[in-house]
Amino acid sequence: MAGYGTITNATDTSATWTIWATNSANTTSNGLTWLVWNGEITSGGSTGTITVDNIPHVHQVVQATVYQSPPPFPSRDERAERRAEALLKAFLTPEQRKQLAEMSAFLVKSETGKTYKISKKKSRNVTLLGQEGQPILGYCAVADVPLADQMLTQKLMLETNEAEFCRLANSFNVRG
Amino acid sequence: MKHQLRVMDGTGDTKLIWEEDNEVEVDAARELFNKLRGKGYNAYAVKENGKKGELINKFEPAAEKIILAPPMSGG
Repeated sequence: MAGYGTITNATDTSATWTIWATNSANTTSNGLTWLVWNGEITSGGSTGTITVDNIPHVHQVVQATVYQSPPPFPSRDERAERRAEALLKAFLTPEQRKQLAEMSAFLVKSETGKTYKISKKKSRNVTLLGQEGQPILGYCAVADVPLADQMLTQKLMLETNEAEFCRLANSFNVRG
Repeated sequence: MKHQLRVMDGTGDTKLIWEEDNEVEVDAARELFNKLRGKGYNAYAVKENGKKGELINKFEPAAEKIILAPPMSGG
């Protein structure tokens, strides 16, 4: 907010304001005193109308950390997936955990000694591998649970009841 | 020793704990086990760190951990 008035002689400490439009409390017989108290002359001359910036100037710069909003609270699905991942990891070998971290899949030896790859995706995620590690046949079997729970179920079934897994799953060709 | 039943569901899983010498807890775990087996859930007696699990058809109060997994279907 700017105040303005008329000063007869800015260099004279006895100069007087004749008009103050914004705040009569600032009217003073000593224009310079008013300037020291309230601001500075931003335009005008030694006589005539001047404009006074009467907003106190702030010279101190405060360095504050930029506010960052906290991450959104995980949704119910995200919390379920985290719980399921913790459960899955608890029942994997250290080698399988490493495979999961590195290739988003892990290998399982079935009860008949075959090797399956269980990938981290909701459908068509089980692959029977050959002795050289080449894909032989794909399987798709799903359950109405978070993905990591489904992967654990597939692992447990292949280890303990492979025939039943292969019976209920849909198989598909994975060879080019 | 505390034993655990982990039931897979939409929240990840629900845990039920029992102690073998606590008849009430054992009965509650057995009841849930039987109820979900009746709905087609498969039950596995498991040990952590990737040791092979065992498919079980009857509640075993001495099992350290049991996972109850909902039935799968061809996708």
